[in-house]
Amino acid sequence: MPDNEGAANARSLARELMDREVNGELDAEALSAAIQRAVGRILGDLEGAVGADGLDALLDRAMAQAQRGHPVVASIGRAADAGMPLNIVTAIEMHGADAARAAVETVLAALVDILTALIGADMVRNLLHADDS
Amino acid sequence: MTASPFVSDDSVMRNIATGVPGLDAVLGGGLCEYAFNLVAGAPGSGKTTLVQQILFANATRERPALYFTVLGEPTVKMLRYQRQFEFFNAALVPAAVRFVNLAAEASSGDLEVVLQRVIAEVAATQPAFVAVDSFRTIVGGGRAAESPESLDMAHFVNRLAQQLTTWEVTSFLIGEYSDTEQRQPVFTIADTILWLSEDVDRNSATRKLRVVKVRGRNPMPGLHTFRLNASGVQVFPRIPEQVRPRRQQPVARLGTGVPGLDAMTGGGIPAGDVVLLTGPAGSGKTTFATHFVAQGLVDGEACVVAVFEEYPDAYLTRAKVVSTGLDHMIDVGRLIVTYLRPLDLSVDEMLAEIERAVQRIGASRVVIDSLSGFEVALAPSYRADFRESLYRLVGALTVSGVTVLMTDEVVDATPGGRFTHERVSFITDDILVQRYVEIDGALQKVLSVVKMRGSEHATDFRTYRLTATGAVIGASLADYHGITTGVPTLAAPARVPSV
Repeated sequence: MPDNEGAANARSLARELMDREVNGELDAEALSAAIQRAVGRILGDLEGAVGADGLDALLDRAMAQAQRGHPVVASIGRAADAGMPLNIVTAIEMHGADAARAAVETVLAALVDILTALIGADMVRNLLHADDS
Repeated sequence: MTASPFVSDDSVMRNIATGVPGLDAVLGGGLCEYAFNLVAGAPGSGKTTLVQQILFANATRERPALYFTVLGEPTVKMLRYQRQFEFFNAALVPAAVRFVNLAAEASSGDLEVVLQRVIAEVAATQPAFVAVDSFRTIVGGGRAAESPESLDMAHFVNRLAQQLTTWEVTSFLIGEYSDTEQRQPVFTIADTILWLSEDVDRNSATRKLRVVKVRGRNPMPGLHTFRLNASGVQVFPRIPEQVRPRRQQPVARLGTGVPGLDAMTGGGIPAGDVVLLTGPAGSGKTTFATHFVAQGLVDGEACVVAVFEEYPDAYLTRAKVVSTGLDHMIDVGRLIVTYLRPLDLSVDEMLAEIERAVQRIGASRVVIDSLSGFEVALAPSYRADFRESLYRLVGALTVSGVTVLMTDEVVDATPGGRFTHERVSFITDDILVQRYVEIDGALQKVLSVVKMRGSEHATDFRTYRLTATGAVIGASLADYHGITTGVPTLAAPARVPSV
C-alpha cells in the first residue's frame, strides 16, 4: 500500500499534469474536452514506453485502487480506442465535469503511485514529461 | 555539445567506446560507428544489461538512443531491474534514452508493420543508437511471406539494417539464440556478433563473452570472462601470452628481508624475476613472503599482496611478527593487501584485480600467497588450465618489470617427496624450497635455493627458525648427508692422517 507522503506526491503530480490541459474557467463542454485531451496525452506518453498491454495492466490496477477512494471512478469506463484508453463521457454526464475531473485525477494519482513503487519517482516524472515546459 | 564518445577518429570509420570496462579491448578498439550489432546468448546471460550499459554511456540529448522493447520482459519490470545498476541514469530517460514498445506491431505478426513503426520512430527521433530487445521475438513471431506485400525474415533483417545504417544509427539487436541457430539471416547481416554464455560446473557459474565477428576490426580471440555486479558488466579480457623482454645485465637485486637469505641467493632476488617458494604446511612460507614485502617497503617500493587463504585482517595481524608498519603502509598507499577468494574466479579476473592494484600504487613487488589457494579460488572450468593460466598471469605481471613471489604448499615433505609442483616450476626464475628434516630426533626446518636463473647461488641446505621477530637463517648442513631423504646423517669427520 502507498505511504501517505508517496500518495500525496502522486496526487500532486497528477494534478500538475492535469492542470497543463485543464485550466482556467471552462464551461462543461470545454472542460470535458480538456480532460479528454489531458488523459490522452498523459497516457499516450506512457503507452509509447510500456506498450498497450503494459498500460492496460497499469490502468487495471490504478482503477481498482482509485475506486476504493472515489465513487465517481466507477463510472469511468475503459475504452479500446488507441490514444484514449479511458472513457469519461458517462462520468461527466452522471456527475458533472468537475467531479469527473477529480475522479480522473484520482486514477492518475493511483497510476503514478503504482509506477513510482515499480520504477521510482524520478523516472515516472520523466516518462510522463512532468518537467517539460 | 557534449564530449565526444569516440575513442579514435578516422575520416570514415570511427570507434565508439562502449563504456563497458574491458569490452573495448576485446572488440579491438570499441564498436564501429553505424555498425549493426547482434548481442546473442541464452536468457539471463546479461544481454540487456550489456546493451543498456553501452547506451547509457553514450546517449545524450543530442545523440539519443531508442530502445525498442518487444514481446519479452514487460518494460516496467525491465526498467525496475535495470535501474538498480549504477550505469542506469534515470535522468536520461526518456530525453536521451527513450523506450518504445513494439508489442502491438510484433503481435500483428506482420514484419512490414514492425519495420514501418521502427522507421517512423527513427525518422521522428533521429537517434544515434537503436536497440531492439528482444529481436528474436520479432523475427520468431513474424510470419514468413504469406502475401506478396509481406516481408520474409531475411528481407526484413536486410531492410532493417539498410534503414538503420542509412539513418547513421549504431544498432543493437538483442536475441536469445542457441549455438545451432547461427545460420539465421541476422548472423550473416550483422557487422558485429557478441555471444554471451554461462558455464556452470558443480556450484560454480562463470559468465563468458565471445566476439564471433567484427567487421573491420581485429578482436581478441577466445572466451573472455565477464561479471555482472552493481556497476553492470565488467569484461576481463583473456590475458594474451606476453614475451618478457630479455634481461638487461646487470639487474638490481632486491633484498629478501630475511637475514642470511640474501647471501644464499647471491645478493638478493633479481628484479623482475618470478620466485617460487615452496614448502610443507607450517614451514613459514607466508613469513618469508612477508619479509620480502616488508623489505620492499623499507627500500621505498610499493607492494601488492594477493591473499587467498585468509582475510587481509588476519594476514596483517600475523604479519606483525615481521613488521608492525604494514597498516601504516596501506594508509599511505604503499601497500595493498587484496583478498581474492570467490570460488568462481577466472585467472583473467584475478589478474585484472592485481594489475589494478599494481597500477594504483605503482607496485614493483607482488606476492601471491598462495598458489594452492589461488587454484581453489578458480572456477572448476579454469582449474584444468591452471598451469597455462598461471603462465599467462606471471607473464603479464613480469613484462612490466614487477617481481613476483609466489608461495606454494608441497604436501610431500617426507623422503622421496618433490621439491615443487612440476606443473608450475617451469614458469619460475628462482625456486626456494623449504622442508622438514629430522636431526638428532628433532624436527628442523631447512631451506635451499634450488634454482636461480642466470645467477650464482648457494647450493647447501641451511636451517632456519621462525622466531618472535620473523625468520632467521641458521647453520649450513653442508656436513650432512641424505638431507633430501628427510633423515640426514652427519658425515664422518675427516681422518687425521697417521704419522
